[in-house]
Amino acid sequence: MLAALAALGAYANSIDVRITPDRKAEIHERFSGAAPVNFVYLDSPCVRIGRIQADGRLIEPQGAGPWRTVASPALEISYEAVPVAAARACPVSLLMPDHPVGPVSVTVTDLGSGLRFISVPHFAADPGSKIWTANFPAVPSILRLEWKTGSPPGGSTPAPAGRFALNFWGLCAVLVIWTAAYLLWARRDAS
Amino acid sequence: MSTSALMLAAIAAYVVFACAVGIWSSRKARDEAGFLVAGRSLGPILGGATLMANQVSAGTTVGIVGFHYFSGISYAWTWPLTWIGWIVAALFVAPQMRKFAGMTLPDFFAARFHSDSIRVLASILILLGYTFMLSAQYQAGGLIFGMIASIPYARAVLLVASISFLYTVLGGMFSNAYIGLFKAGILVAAYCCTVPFLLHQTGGIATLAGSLYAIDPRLAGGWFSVRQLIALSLALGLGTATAPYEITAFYSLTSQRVTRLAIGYSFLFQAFVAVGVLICGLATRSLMPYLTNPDLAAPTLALYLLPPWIGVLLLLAIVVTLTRTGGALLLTSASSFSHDIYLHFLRPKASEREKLAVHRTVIALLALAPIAIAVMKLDLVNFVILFAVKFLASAFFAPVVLGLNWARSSRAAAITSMVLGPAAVVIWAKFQHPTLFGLEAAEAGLLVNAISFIAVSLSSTHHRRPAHASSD
Repeated sequence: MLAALAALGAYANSIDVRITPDRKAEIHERFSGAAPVNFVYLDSPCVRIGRIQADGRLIEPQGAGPWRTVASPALEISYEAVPVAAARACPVSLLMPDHPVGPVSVTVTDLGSGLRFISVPHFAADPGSKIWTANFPAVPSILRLEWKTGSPPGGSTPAPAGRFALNFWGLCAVLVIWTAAYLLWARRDAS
Repeated sequence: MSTSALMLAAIAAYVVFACAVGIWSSRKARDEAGFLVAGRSLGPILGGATLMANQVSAGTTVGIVGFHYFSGISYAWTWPLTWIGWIVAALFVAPQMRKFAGMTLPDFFAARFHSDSIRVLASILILLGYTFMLSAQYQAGGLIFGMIASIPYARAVLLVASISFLYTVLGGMFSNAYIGLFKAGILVAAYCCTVPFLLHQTGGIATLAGSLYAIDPRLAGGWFSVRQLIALSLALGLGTATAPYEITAFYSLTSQRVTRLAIGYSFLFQAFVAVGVLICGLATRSLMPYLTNPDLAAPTLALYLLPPWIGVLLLLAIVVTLTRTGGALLLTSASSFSHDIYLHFLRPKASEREKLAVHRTVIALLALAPIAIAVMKLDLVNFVILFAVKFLASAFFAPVVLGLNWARSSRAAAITSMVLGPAAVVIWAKFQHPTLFGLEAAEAGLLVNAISFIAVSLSSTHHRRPAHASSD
């Protein structure tokens, strides 16, 4: 599937990220398909998304998070991710069309911020040139950047999550108790 | 070195390892019992790994990750619900089945109901169901290898089929048991590395939960109703309790008591896998929410979102999983033809050497048939597996569980229920929307299977359990 797409040659979807010395990310995205389109992005605890522009217009995001929506008249969009603190590691949000668009190529260029590596998603670095490139089967929601220096990453305030915690911890408890109780019974039965 | 290159090297090493295990096991599998049921020599840990390795297939490491990716956390509750089936197995199936000292599930039916026609019927049903399940393993393998090495899908399917075939044809059940233990170890290691990394990268459980809830509140719980979860789990759990490859694994254990302990160890392995596949699916949804196909969630995670060494470990665990389950399916479906039909009817006095040659030839032939189905890509991997599981559970549940534990069970009842149960599943599957009488296909199949078995048993002559059954 992906091999066939890769064989088509250049990726129709691309994201270009430039990290300035003050760790601001200037991001330019281009996708194929039909406009207008809704973009979405995930709130990050350490960057603020701003100056979203498409078709020469500034666009304001909608919604209260953690996912926000941007109604764009075009499939080419640019914006800034401005750090709220000089954290050593930071997930930078990317805007994504709110539907599958297929493979995308992403390039990250460090213009002197001291970027050490990109931990998620996985990027291959071009030695010496401070350029990281990768091709992905879909648009990643974040780029987790890590610098040589900075403060420890701050925590984020969890958003409402419905019954998730009850489901998750309840499931873990059931699996652990069940396994332990059964093994106790089976071992006693075997002795 | 890129993840793909590392992965190809790891797969090459695994193929060499699997072949070495196969060659080493072939020295132990010198007769039919050695080849089909490992000489009834498996202890509790090796047996537990074997039971888990049979159940945890591509449907789990690829399909269920994809299920969690698109439907959130609620599907994870099928694990403890499915374990009810294992309790049924521990109490009412495994120890009793071990007494029969057979080699295949049709062996049990033939001995219990004094009928060769039921042996043939069971063999045909196993061949049908396992051909589709095997095709789903190949399909998942085709997707994975296609992504790793950019090789054409059909060629990737052939590669997966070849790995399963190689070690199974060499060492039979011994190979399956040792590769099963390797699979258990590598799955636990892979998820122990992957889960903490993903939780760290997504900001922890609470942040991950918040992002999923904001995408769709049903991802935090409630995508599937309690009724749907119970129906799905009934099919999986009761299917597991009477699954032909699990029955063969029960036969391979040293004693009745060991079968119960082995089930406990399989719970331990399964618990790691349950939490692992859950976090993998949910974290991938948060990190890359718009994949074109949910089945791509697991390979995408391994290839693009994890650091190379964890990604390679996870991918290798997936490859080992689907090739190992492929091996178990292949061995069981092949023996249902070679042992229960060819050797039983045509060459009952064959030498042990000839029997081994027949088993190996049939394995080679049956490894090829599912390739054509896999190339057609019938559905999402987990849907194909679920359908096959429902089909077989609806054939064998009552004849096995009641046949083992109810003296009035009759041959006519077994045959009737083995025909009507799967037929109900097929008919119900045709009417998914709306479902007939509000019943899910698995519920309908199991109900028809159990009711027809009880009704016909009560109205026909019963067959007592054979007195020759040995006990330990």
